[in-house]
Amino acid sequence: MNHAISIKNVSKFYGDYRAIKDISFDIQDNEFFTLLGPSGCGKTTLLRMIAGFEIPSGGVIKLHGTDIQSLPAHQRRVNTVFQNYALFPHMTLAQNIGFGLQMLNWSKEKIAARVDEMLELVHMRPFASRMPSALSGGQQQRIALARALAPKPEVLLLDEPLSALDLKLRQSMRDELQQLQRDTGITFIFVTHDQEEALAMSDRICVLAEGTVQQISSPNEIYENPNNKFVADFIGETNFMPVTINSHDNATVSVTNPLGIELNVPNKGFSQGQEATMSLRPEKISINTPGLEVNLQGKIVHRTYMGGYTHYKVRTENATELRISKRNTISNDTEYNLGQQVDIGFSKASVRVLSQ
Amino acid sequence: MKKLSWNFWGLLPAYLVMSLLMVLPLLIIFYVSFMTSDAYGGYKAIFSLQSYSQIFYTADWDDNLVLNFQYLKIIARTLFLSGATAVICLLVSFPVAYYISRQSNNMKTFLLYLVTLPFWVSMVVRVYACVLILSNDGVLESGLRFFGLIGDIDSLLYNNAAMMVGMVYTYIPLMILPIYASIEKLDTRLIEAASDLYSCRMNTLRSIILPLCKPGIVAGFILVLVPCLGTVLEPMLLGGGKTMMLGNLIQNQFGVARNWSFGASLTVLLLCIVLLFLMFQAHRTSKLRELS
Repeated sequence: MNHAISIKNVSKFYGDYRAIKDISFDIQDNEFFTLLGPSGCGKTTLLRMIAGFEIPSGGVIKLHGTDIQSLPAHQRRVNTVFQNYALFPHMTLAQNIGFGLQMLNWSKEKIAARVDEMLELVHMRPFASRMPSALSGGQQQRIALARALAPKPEVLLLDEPLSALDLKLRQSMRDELQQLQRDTGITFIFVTHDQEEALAMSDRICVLAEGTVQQISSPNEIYENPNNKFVADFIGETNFMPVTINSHDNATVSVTNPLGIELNVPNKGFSQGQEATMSLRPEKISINTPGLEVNLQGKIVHRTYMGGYTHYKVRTENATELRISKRNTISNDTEYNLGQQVDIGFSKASVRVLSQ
Repeated sequence: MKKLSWNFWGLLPAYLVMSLLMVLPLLIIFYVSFMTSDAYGGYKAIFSLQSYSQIFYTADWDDNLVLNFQYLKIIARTLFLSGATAVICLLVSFPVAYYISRQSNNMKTFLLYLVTLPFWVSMVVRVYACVLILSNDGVLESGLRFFGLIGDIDSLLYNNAAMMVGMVYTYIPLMILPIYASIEKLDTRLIEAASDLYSCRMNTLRSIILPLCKPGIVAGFILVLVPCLGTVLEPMLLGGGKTMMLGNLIQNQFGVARNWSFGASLTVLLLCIVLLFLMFQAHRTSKLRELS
């Protein structure tokens, strides 16, 4: 298997502060790979080290098998889409896109053709001779993309490129980015703190926290089978409950939980008597739906109407509060009122037990 | 009667100061420049263009006007020395300003303080400091001699180079500050973006940093050039009165030469040259403002 980027034991210190703690992973060729984490988790630092703007304190970064440690940024065949686009304000859009090609000593005709092709790709052809200041945020975004893609980099780095756009635009740019990645066949490394963005676009997501890798998996795996409490909490909404491991064998463990139900879940290296956390996603719990494995009684204590779905808070008989998310599939039909007694139920397979 | 606004009354002192101390004297100078000069100083109220023609021509024995390069040479020298000073200031200031802009905030404040510090000392004292450094047996000459770098030389003082040293030293803060301001505003991500797009350092400087700092460079250039054109002290103290610049020539006309009209016409000429540069600058900034 050919790795576009291979990161081995990379660390980064700023004085005593360890921004990146001994990280290793590989990014496949032609992959849409996302670095996801809260601010300060080290995702941008990692991206900047790949680009060549920061030098790792230790470890090796390889680009298609070649150690790029000693190469300055301008000799690495990677290009970056910057968070605030960083378009050159004194150049036209065409000059911006052509800048990298000019530096690579392409001929005038080839540059003109490639710039044209790129403008076409991002649907900005009529704007070629405009200045960046005459563009909206979304348009600047497209030009920044075109500029970074024009020199045909081996890897494209995207540093939170959608964070400055408004919601609608952000959503449509997600689809465009994904399409662009498929069309160009270039490896994308996308940095974001927005879990929705990550889930929507990525082939694989790397969740980072405090300079260490928490989990690298497909979006589905990350959401449904989080490695630990941090990942479950950071990606999407969930109900956490403290549990104690009662008994265990190699395959499964049984736990005591505040809901007072018997659960057997896969053993992920738990030991007897260990304190752990149980996670149950709000949309996995149903209200007044018969035929589920676990059934409880509760009272609606809070309701937030969100249009497409409604968030409820239900207090069960043993005083545990559960968040439940219900899709409003039929108009004005099944709104539950505050104080109403309801049956709630879920399948045992939806429950995850995570180490602290 | 229309009630005058607060703006008017608030600005009145400024209007008075400006019109009494700047506009009125300039009008007087303008008026005098078109009068006939009096042999004993002052002027006679008779209209004449003689003082303007004196810049270019001189009357020979037969009262024919012949081209006279004496004053034109001084004007040319003034323009050349001022321009050269501005260029040297620019070459020195850019790296200094760039270096300051890359320091920590505390360090920046300290370094900018150092740059502006000479302004707190009287200009005469500052120029005299240069005299002391450049004079025979001064710090520079004896130092160079000590290391055997020079033998017996005439003098480091009293030439064009000495005047330029003085002017560069006096006016360089006026170049550093505007360039610093424009580099400080420069988005460092643009420099990263350039190197990300395969541009080496030299080329990033040439095609990204310099063009974006152009407003500061032009402003600094004009801020140095304009006072240089009218400078008096440096030619007097460092040029030793042997080489004159426009400022000294004007001073002489109102002093020892007792030719007020000629002095006034030279002043108007200097003013026109300066205004030309200022208009160019104003035109540029308004165009830039339109663009953004």
